[in-house]
Amino acid sequence: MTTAATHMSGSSVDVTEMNSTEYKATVQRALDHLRLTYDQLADQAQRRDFSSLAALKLWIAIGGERP
Amino acid sequence: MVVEPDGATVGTKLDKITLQSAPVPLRSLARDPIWIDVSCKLMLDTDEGLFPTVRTSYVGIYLGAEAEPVLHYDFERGKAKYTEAHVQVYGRHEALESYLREVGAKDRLAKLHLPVGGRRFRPSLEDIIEFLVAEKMVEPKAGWDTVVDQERRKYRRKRIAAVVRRNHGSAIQELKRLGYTIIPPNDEGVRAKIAALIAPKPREPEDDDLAVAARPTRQDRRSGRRPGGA
Repeated sequence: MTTAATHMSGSSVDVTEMNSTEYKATVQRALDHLRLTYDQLADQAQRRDFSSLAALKLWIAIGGERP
Repeated sequence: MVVEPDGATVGTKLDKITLQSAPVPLRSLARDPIWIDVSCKLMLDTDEGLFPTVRTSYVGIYLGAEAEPVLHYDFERGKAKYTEAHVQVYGRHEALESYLREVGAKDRLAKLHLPVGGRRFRPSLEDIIEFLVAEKMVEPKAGWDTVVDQERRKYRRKRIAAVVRRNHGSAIQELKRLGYTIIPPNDEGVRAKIAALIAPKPREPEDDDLAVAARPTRQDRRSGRRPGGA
């Protein structure tokens, strides 16, 4: 994993690059943080009824995809 | 921004551990602070692998020291049910909530998904910013409208290109009506690519020449396989 500040449109943006294994571990950590499994999160999305705003935002952040 | 082999997650104050964005303050015109929280997942388009595409996005507006949500505007490409782009408003309406309870539906206004234009015609972030300024909720910087107009124009041109790319029949019909002569490509490879682009798929309500691609898995993308294909 590498992190660097990149300049875009006059602003500095932190860019963290991950390989597949690192990304998968990050998503799992994020799910653990919310005490949810991917299947539970996907079920909430399918029912259009998330348990919290953070759960919805994680679904958005991972593009709704199982890593 | 977190970049991984299949895409990138972008967000305001994005936490690399929890993948959660966090709100950032806008220029409030009142005593209470007002916030915006933006995140999205970007990927290359699944048809040609050429165009950066928003897979999912979230724009939240919050108020007060505790950043209580007022509304959020979400987009989820290929969502199984209606509606890919929608707004949820954190308000109360007693008569509505009573009605919803009586019919056994979701019981709060905030749980209702108000449709906003679908995949091709959904509002942009610039529209949300303009809304906040026009409704006198934030104090704009000088020249804000020029920037918003320029960026929105770029966004809408990309949307128009996507509509044409996936709706050749309608585009050709309208151009012919205006007097253009349309010459289809002769090249077999190009014709095959076009056929694949406009081939019917399970659901894509706003594209009348076709329907939405079944959601490809990460394995589909890596192998170049069509969604649902062998």
